[in-house]
Amino acid sequence: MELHISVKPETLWTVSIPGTGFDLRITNSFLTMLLVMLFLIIVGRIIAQRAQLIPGRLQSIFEMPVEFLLGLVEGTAGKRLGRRIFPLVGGLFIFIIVSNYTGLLPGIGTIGLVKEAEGHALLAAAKGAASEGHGKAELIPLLRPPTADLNMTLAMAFISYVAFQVAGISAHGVWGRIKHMANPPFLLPIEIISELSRIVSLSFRLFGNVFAGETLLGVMYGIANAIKISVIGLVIPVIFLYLEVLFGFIQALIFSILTLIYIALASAHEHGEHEHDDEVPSHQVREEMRPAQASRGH
Amino acid sequence: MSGPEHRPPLVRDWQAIGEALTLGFSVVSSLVLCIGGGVLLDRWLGTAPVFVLVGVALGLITAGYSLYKLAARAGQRRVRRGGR
Repeated sequence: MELHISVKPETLWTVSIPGTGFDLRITNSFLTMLLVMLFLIIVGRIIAQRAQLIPGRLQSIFEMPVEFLLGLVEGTAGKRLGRRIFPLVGGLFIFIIVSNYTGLLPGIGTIGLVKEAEGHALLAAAKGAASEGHGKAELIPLLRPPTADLNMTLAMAFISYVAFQVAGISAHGVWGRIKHMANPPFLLPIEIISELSRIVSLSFRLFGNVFAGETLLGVMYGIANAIKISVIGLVIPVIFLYLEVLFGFIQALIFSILTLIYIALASAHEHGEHEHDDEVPSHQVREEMRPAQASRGH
Repeated sequence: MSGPEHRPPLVRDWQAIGEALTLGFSVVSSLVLCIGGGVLLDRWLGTAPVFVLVGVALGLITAGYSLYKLAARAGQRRVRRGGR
């Protein structure tokens, strides 16, 4: 079995846009992204249509993660801002987690188009088919997790960047935002670089983790295929599949939590700390701490 | 009222995990951004290695500043929670 590892998403088809001279390349990650979106829209619509005031068992299953996320967002950003940004943060989380988990489905990365040297494409059922028959045949996976494509993660990081800039500007105004960043003024360029570096860190963290997970699983499938002793070959990938389930959840949560923290920081009224409509004033905190300090002194 | 010290432990834990993961990446991404920008500028203007060196210095300062900010934020939160 030959391992197929490609950092770049593979182009499946090229569609030329009439009148522009541009070609739209339909990559495997783009196709999977469309399928993930379609799945989320259909499932979301079905759940929304069947929603009852007193939830049933199935509705409760879907409400649990939403409530967990809402609690997290409101707990971090405050009730008012939290409710405003929840659709973005929740949407990012759900999209990323579903995208991450597509990599665990059977057929992803193994079913694809066999392209021969002449460019003739056939649908192959498994990777093994690529090596049969013609020697120059190459299998291009039909589906690839969208988050294993840097273009996708970079686009999401850019959305996150725009969101926290908009939140900052709407909270302080343009001049207020600049003053908020330039405190003291000589730190403005460093603050700008530091904020731009968030795009790099958000996108590369997610891409790196998901792509590494995909590669690791590919290698483990290869090892499992090579070991022909009883069921040992089946057990090896299972351990890593469990790990990928955990990493997929953590990475989705980290991306959405960091977006949330950045938005909360940008719209904070005091430099460097969250100050919201429902925040405890610092003088009150000092008052609350006084008895505790006094009792420690005795 | 639900200030940072009144937040449920689960929320605080996930925030802490999120910020801890930011630590490493903020250093690397600041350096990558500044040095990468320096390399591109040098290639464009033909001034190698001036902007790479400026990028290294700026990247290190930014990385240090990001770490300082994270540490300061964590410290403030700790004080608000009464040293816990």
